[in-house]
Order: sequence, then C-alpha cells, then structure tokens
Amino acid sequence: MSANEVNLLRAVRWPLTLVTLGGLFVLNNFTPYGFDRTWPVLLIVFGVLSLLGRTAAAIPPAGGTGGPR
Amino acid sequence: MKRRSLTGPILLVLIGVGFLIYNLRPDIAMFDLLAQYWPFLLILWGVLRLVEVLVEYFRGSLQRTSFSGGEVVLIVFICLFGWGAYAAHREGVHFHPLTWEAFGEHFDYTVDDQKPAGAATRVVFENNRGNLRITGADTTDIKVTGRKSIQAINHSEADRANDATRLEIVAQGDTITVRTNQDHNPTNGKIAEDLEITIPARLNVEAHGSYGDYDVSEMNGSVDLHGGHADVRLNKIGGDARVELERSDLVRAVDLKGSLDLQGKGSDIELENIAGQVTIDGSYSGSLEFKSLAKSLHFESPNTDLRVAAVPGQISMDLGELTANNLVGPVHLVTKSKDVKIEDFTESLELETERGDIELKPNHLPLAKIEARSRSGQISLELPEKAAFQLVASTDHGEAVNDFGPSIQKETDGRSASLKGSVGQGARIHMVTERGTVTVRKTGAQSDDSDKTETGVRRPAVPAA
Repeated sequence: MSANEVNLLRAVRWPLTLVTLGGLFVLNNFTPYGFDRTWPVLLIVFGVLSLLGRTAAAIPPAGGTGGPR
Repeated sequence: MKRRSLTGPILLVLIGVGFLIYNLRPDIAMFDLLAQYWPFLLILWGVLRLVEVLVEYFRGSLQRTSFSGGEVVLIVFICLFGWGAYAAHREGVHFHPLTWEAFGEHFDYTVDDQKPAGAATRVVFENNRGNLRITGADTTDIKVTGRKSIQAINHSEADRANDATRLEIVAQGDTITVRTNQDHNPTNGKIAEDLEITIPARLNVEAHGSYGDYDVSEMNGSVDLHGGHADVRLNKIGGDARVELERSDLVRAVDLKGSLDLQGKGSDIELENIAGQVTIDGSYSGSLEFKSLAKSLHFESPNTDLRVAAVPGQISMDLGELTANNLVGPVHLVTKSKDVKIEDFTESLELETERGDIELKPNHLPLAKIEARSRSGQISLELPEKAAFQLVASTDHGEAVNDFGPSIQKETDGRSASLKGSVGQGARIHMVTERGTVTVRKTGAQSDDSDKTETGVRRPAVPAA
C-alpha cells in the first residue's frame, strides 16, 4: 500500500466515524435501537479504521510523507 | 497552501436557513422537525468531509486533515442538544414561537345574546380564542354571556373590530351555531372571548377553537371538542365524549355516562367514574389518574400500551412509574421504561417493560394467569399463603428468591437462576428478566433465603394502603 493510501485511510477515519455517529442517532430516533445500546459500534468502527491505518503504515512508506506520526 | 474546509460555511448556511424558516413560517414546527432529523446533519457533515478528502486524494494534494478542536466541541454539543431535544419531543414537549403581545391595549366589551333552541338537537360553538364554559340546564333557550377582549391601538379601532365581530346565534336545520366571528376582524389586534353559556341539557354539543379552555357540565347529550391549546374539564355528561386537542395541560373528566375518546398531547389527565369505554391516544408527560372506569380502558402512547377490561380501583401513571390496584383483566401492559406496581387484578396479566422493576401483589384467589417480562429490572411477586399456582421464573443475570419452600425448585447456573414448580393446582405464572432478581414471596412474610444479599431482595414488604 502506498503512502498516499495510508494518508487516505487516516483522512477518512474521522469523517466515517462522524457518519456512523449520525447513523446511530438516526436509529435512535426512528427505530427501537437506542443510542444507549448501539454506541459500542462507534468504538468498533473507529478501531477498525485505525487498525487498517496501522497495518498499512507498518509497511515502510515509499516516500517521506506517509511515515508514522 | 492548506485549503480551508467547505463544511463550516455550508453548515452555517443551513443553520441560517433553519432560523429563517422558523421566523417566517411559525406554522412549520421547526423544533419538532429538528428534534427528529438532526442526526442527518452529522451524516451530511461526515459525507461532506469524505467528499473533500476523496477530491483532494484524486488531485494528489491530500493533506492529513483531522477535525479541529472547535469542530469536535461543536459535534459534542450537537449530540447533547439533539439528544435532549429528541427526548423532550418524545415526551410531548413542544416549543412555540413567542407571540407578540406588547402591541396596543386591551379593550373589554360585554357579550350577551339569547335565542330559543326550538327543535334543534345539536349546538356548535365556534370560538377561535377564549374560554368556553357550557352548562346544561332545564331551559329552552341558548343563553350566552361573557366578556370579549380586543387588542387595539385606540378605542375607535377596538370599536371597529367589535362591530365586525358580533356574536351570532344561527339556527339551520337541526343545528344551532354560535359563532364569535373573530376571523372577520378587520384589524390586526387579537380578540379573545370568555363565554358562559347555558343551553338545554338534551342537546349534543360540538365546539371548535384554537386557543382556550373548555368546561362542559350537566349535559345529557354527547360532547365533541376540537381545540388547539386547551384544557378540558367535563363533568356529568350523559352522552359520549370525544376530545381532540393539539396540546393540553389538563384534561379532567368526571361522571360520564357514555364513552370517552381522547386524542392529543400534553400533560395531566384525570378520569373518574366513567361508565363507557375509555380510549386515549397521544403522549402525556404529566401525571395520569384513572379511577372507577366501568368499562374497558385503552391507553396508547409512544412509550406505553395499556389495555384493561375495567378499573374498579385506580391507576396512577407518570413517565417513570405505573401504580395500579384493583383491575379487571385481561390486563395488557407494554411499556419502555417504567417501574410497575400492580395490586389485585383478575383474569390474566400480561406485562412487558424494557427497563424497570415489576412488583405484583394479587390478593384475590384463585390467582390470575401472569406473564411478566423485564429486560432490565427485578420482578417480585407477592402471593397469599393459600395461593395455588404453577410457577416458572427466571433471570439471566441475578438471583432467584423463593418463599414457598420445597415445592418450588431453585436452579442456579453461572449468573442465571430460575424457579420452577407448582403449589396445588392453579394459574400459570411466568416471570422472566434479563437482569435483576426474581422473587416469589408470601404476603407479609420476610424472605427466608438467608444467603441472599443482593440489594432490593431485602426490601421490607410494604403494607397495603
């Protein structure tokens, strides 16, 4: 995976988490699945995205831009 | 060069549009819409950011963008505010835009009119703003007295408004219409009329309005009320009553010989001594009291569904608790989060709560069939000493406590526990909770299960009130 893709994964992490957050509140408002029960999904989504970023970053980046922070 | 995100300005525009609609079109319930649909704002924001990231990525100019501290704070605030707004919305709280009352002065006029009812069977009241007090009497005339308050800049303006909005009593066919004609007002000032009306008790009453309370008493006919924001008091009504309101602080009905059909949103309800069926459909956030209902009660709200064949005793309910005693079954209750306490019921009881403790005390023998479920909360059942029953009770996480000795078998498996067995030949009792203690005890007796220390188990038996 190229350094650019690593950066992409990092960049989409927060927006995707935000979309998930919105989605869970939509479920909360329109279905019986309350946010008080579904919130762990947030951790899972954010965790999985971070994990993808980590494993991708473990491959040494080709350029100088994508190294670990 | 780091490009600034487009999301901020777009959200700003949306917020501006929202407030503009709120200001220009107060009839659109922006608060209600926002309370329900606000999560889509978060999704929109997330998607906008995603699109930005992808665009930058394909241009090859991707920056490692994360949310700034300010944005995170804003998201947290949106979530907190949105959750609160939704909770308020669901419980029936509504925000009305402030009305402009500071304009002009109030001028008072008296209203006085009378007309024979003749052979009419129905009387219709059309009073947009103001309170109506309608009393049935042994009379042949429709008599209206009261006070009309007109908001105007000066006296002549008020006179002009008063002349254009004279009260009319019009007979047509079997219907007599009492009209306050407030919609004919040529000025901008507000008009409200508080009227006292005496009519022949035999008539059927119908009333329409958008702001103002109704007080109807001593009528033999039916009563049909439609209102916006109104409190309703019904007293001694012979026929069926139907009440449809947008919002009320109090609906009280006492001594009704017919049925009652109530629809709306609001706060308190008090019903007492009603001979016909009672149907309530709406959301009410205050205290609800039902006493002496001779026929069936059906209460339906977004959080609660309650059906009872009759209520010789009483039911008290608020957002967090339902207490009832002396019910005629079959009783059916499904609720989201309420502590439920029911004492004395016949036929059968079917009860389901998502969050809340259940306390049941059937005193009459033979016992009614019981089916009680809680997702999270303890279930305790107190039975008379001579009760005969077949019991299946279980909890996934919790203790099981039994007072009825060896005829009930207790099993524990990991964190779950159950009670099974029969005492004599009797009704089937089924109690299930996912989290909490299940208890079966004899009336007046303390638990003899000495190794149980779980809180709540040792709660002393409450003496019957």
